[in-house]
Amino acid sequence: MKKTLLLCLLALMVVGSLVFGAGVQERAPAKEVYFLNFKPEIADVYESKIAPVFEKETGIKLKVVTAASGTYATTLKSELAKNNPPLIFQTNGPVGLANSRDYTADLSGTEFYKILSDKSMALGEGGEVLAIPYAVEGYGIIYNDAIMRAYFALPNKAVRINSADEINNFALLKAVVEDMQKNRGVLGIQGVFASTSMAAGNDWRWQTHLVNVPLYYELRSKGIPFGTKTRDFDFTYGPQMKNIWDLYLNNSTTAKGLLGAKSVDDAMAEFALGQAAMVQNGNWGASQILGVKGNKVADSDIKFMPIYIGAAGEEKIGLCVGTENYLCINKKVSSEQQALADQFLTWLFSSASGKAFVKNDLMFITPFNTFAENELPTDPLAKEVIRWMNKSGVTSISWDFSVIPSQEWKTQFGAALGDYINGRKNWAEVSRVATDVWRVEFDLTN
Amino acid sequence: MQKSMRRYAPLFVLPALVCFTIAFLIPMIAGVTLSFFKFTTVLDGTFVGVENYKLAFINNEFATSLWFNVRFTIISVITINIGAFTLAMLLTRGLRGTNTFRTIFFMPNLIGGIVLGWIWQLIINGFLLPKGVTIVTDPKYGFWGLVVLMNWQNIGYMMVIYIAGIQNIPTELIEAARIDGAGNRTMLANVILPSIAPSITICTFLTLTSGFRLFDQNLALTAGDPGKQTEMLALNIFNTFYRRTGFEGVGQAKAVIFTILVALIALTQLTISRSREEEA
Amino acid sequence: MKPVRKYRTSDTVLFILLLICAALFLAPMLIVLMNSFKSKFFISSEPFKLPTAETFTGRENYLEGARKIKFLNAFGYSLFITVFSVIGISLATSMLGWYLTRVKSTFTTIVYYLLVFSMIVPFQMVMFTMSKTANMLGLDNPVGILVLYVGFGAGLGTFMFSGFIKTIPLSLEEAAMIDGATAPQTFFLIVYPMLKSTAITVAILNAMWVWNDYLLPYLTIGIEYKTIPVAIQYLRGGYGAVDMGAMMAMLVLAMIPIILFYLVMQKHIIRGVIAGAVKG
Repeated sequence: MKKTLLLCLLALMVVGSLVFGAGVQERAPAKEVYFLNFKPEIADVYESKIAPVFEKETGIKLKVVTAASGTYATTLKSELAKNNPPLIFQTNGPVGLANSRDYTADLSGTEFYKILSDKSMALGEGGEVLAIPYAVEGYGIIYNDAIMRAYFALPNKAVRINSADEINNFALLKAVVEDMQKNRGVLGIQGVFASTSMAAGNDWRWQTHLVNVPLYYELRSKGIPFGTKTRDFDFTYGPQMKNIWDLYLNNSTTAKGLLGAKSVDDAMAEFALGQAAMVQNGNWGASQILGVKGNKVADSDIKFMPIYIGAAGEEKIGLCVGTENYLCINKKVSSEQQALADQFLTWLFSSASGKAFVKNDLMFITPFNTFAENELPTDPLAKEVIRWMNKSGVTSISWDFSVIPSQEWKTQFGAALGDYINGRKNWAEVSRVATDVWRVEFDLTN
Repeated sequence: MQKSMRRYAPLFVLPALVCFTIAFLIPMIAGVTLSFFKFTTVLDGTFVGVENYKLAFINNEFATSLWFNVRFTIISVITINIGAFTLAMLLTRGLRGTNTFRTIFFMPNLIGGIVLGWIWQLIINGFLLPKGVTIVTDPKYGFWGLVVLMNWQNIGYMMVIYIAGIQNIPTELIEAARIDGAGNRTMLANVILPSIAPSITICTFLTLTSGFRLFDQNLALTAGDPGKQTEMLALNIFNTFYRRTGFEGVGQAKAVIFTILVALIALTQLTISRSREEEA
Repeated sequence: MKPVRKYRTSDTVLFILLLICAALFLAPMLIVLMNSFKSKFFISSEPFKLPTAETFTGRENYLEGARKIKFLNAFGYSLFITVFSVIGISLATSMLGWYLTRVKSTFTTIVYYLLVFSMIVPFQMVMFTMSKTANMLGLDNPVGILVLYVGFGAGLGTFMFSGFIKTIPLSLEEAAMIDGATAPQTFFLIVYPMLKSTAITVAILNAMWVWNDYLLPYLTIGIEYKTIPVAIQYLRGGYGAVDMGAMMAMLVLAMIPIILFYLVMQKHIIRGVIAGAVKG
C-alpha cells in the first residue's frame, strides 16, 4: 500500500516535470525585444502593463529584466557578454558610456533620435549619437504642505516665517524642523523626516543623492566643470553634510537602531500615510506615494524644496536636476534586432498607448517632441520639478555624482554613514572614508 | 571481462565525464589560470602576475571576512556538536515518542538556505524589536543570528549521525562497564565517547566545511550588512565577482585562496581518520 | 543485576525537556505560517502576535506573492530540474562508478581522483568560469542546466557507487559475461538491480541539494527561469522593497513540498543522509 503510494508519487513527479519540460521546449524564439531596465520601482509597470499591450499592438514580445538596486553596471556587463544580450540598455552618463562603449550603436539614423527635441542632450562621440536621454528628473526634500500649514498655524511656533515657501537656507530649515519635532504630537506625526532607509540596496538616497550636494559645491568652488573626473575629493563641505544628516536622523519617525531594516518604500509609505512631513527623494517617487493604500496626502499638498546644508549662497539654489537615464541600443546584435529596439522605443514615446503609459504610469518628464504640453506627467512631483526648473533667480544643482569613481565608493561611503548612525564611526572617520576610498577607487578604475 | 567492458567504455564513461568536464574541469583550470589575469568576460584577459592576489588584500575586507568566518565556524562547530550529541543521548534511552522527536529535530535540515535565512530574519528582528535595533544594526547580532540559524539547521543532522554511532556500541561493552560499577560520568568518558569517536570526527568535519562554505544563509539573513561586517568568505568572493566592475580577477584569486583553505581542512580530516583506522 | 530499562522520574523530566526542544524546533516554521496570513504592515512590527480581525488578510499574501514571483513557474522549473538531474546523476554515475571500479588503468585512476577532488572544491572557485562556459555552450536553460548538475553531482555519486560496487563479488558479472552477455547487458540486468539502496541514497542526497540550490541556477538561468530559491531571493531586490507578506506566503509554499516529501520518505532520507555522511 505504502509502496504503491510512493511509486504513484514518483511517477506523478516525473510525468509532471516532463509535461512542464515540453512546455519549456516549445517556446520558440519569436521576435523579441530584451530591455535591461534600471529602475526597480517601475519594473512592475513594464512587466505587467506595457509588455502585454506592446505585444498585442505589434506582435513583438517585450522582455524586461530589472537589475537589483546598485547592481546595474555589473548585471549589464555580464548580460552583454551573453549569447542572448539585451537590445536596449541604460547608461548613467559619460562615465557609464565609456564602460560600454564597445556595445553602443550609432543612433543618428533611428526614429527614436528623430523625436528628441533638443538634439544636444544626447551623448555622442565623433559624430555618432550613442545615448539618448528619456527622462529628466529632479530631487530635493519632498514635504507635505498640509502638515506644514498646521505647524505654521501653531500659536507657540518658534520661528518667525509663516510658510514652508519661505525656508531658503539650512538655519531656517533646522529651526522649523526641530520645532516641528517638538510639536509632533500636536501635528499628528511620528517624526518630521521619514525613515533614513539604510537597508541593503536602499542607501542610494544618501551615498549618491545627498552627497551630490556637497560634491557640487566642492567641484564648483574648485572650478571643475560638470562631468570632469577628478582624483581628489576633499569633502570640503563634509561639515555641511553632517548638518543635514544629523537633522534627518535626529528628527525622524524611526529610532536610529531600526534604520538598518528600512527601505525606500517604507520611507515613502510613511510620507504617504501622513506619519512624516518630509522625505528626501525625487519625482520618480510619485508612484510610491500615490500607490500606497490609504494614502492621506492630497496631491496639491505634495511640494518640493531644495536640500539646504548650510553652504554660502544656498538661497539661490534649486532642486538637484539632471538625468542618469540615457538609453543605448546594442551594437553587437543584428540590424533586424536593432530595428526592433528602435521600434519599441519609438512606440513607447510616440504612440498613443505608449505615451499614456509614460504619462500616467512611468511618470517621466520626457525630452521628446511627441509630447504636447498637456501630455507631460500631471503627478504633483513632476509638476513641482518643472516649476523649480523655471523659477527665476534659482540655479538647479547638477547631478555631479556621475563622476563618483565607482559603485564601490558608494558602497563603502554608505556603510560608513551606517556606522555613524550606530555610533561605530564619528564624522571625522566618515570623512576619511569618503576621501581615502575615492582616491583608491579612482586609481583602480583609471 | 575487462576487454568486453573496454569496448563499451564510451557508453559508460562519456555521459558523466563530458558533463564533469564542462561543469568542473574546464572551469577549474580556467579559474586557476584567470586568477593571474585581469579580465571581465573570460576571453579578454591580460596577464598581471600575482597582482590580483595583492589586490585581494588591498583593504582588510577579505581578512575581516576570514576572521569573521573562523570565529563563526569555531563557535558553530562546538555548539552544534554538543547540542546534537546531547539530543542523541536523550533519544537513545528508549523514551516515549523517540521517533517523533527524531523526525522533528531533523526537519529543518531539509529546508534550503535562502528560505532558512528569511525565516530567521523575521524571528531575530522580532526579538530585537523591543530593544529598538535590528539584525543589521550591529555585526554581533548578525553573528549570533547566523550561529543560531546554523544550529537550528544542523543539530538534527548531526544528531542522526550520533544516534547511529551510539546504537552501534555493543551492548556487552555497556553491560560490562555497569558490572564494573561505572557511574554515568565514567560511562560517558570511558565507554561512550571513545566508541563514537568516528562519528565525532565526521560531524566535526561536516560542520567545519559547511561553516566555511556557508553562502545562501548569509545572503538571505544579513547580506553582509552592516557594511560587509557580517560577510563571510563565500559571500565576499561572490560580491567581489558580481558587485565590482573590473574585479573579476581579484574574485578569482580570492576563490583560489578559499579553495586551498577548504582543501587543507579536508586533508587534515582525512589524515586524522586514516591514522585512527590504523590504530583500530 | 539492574534491568536495562526501568521507569524513573528523571525520564519524565527528560521527556518534558525534549518537548520543549521540539517546540523550539517547530516554532520558526509555525511563526512564518502564522505571519503569512497577516497584512504586510503588521509582520515586521508584531511578528509574534496571532492575526486579529484587523491584521488578518486571508489568502491575499499568497495570491500577491505567487503573482509577483510567478510561483507556479518557479515550482515547475524546480521540479523539472530536480527530477531530471537526479535521474541523470543516478544513471551516469552508476555506470561510471562500475566502470572505474572494474577496469583498472591509469586513466580510470586519474578520473577517480579528479572526481574525489571535485567534492572538496568550493563552488565559488568555479562559479564564474562555469557560468561563462555554460553560456557559451548554450546550456543556460532548464534543459542545459541538467548537464551542469550531472557534472557537479558526478563526484559524490561516482564515489558512493564505486564504494558499494567494490563490495559486490565479481563472480556474478563474470559468469554473465562468459554466458555471452555484453557489458551493457551485464550492467543493466545484473549489476544495476543490486545497486538499489545506493541509488536511493544518491538520489535523495542530490534531490535535497538540487531542489534547494541557489547560486548555480541564479548564475546560469536566474534571469529568465527562476527556481524557487532564486524567485524568493528576488523578492528582496527586484521590486525595491521587500513585501514581507508575500515573502512569508512564499516561504510557506517553498517549505510545504519538502516537508511532505520528508514525511513520506523519512526512513530513506535519514538512512541516505547517514550513508552519505559516513562515505562523504
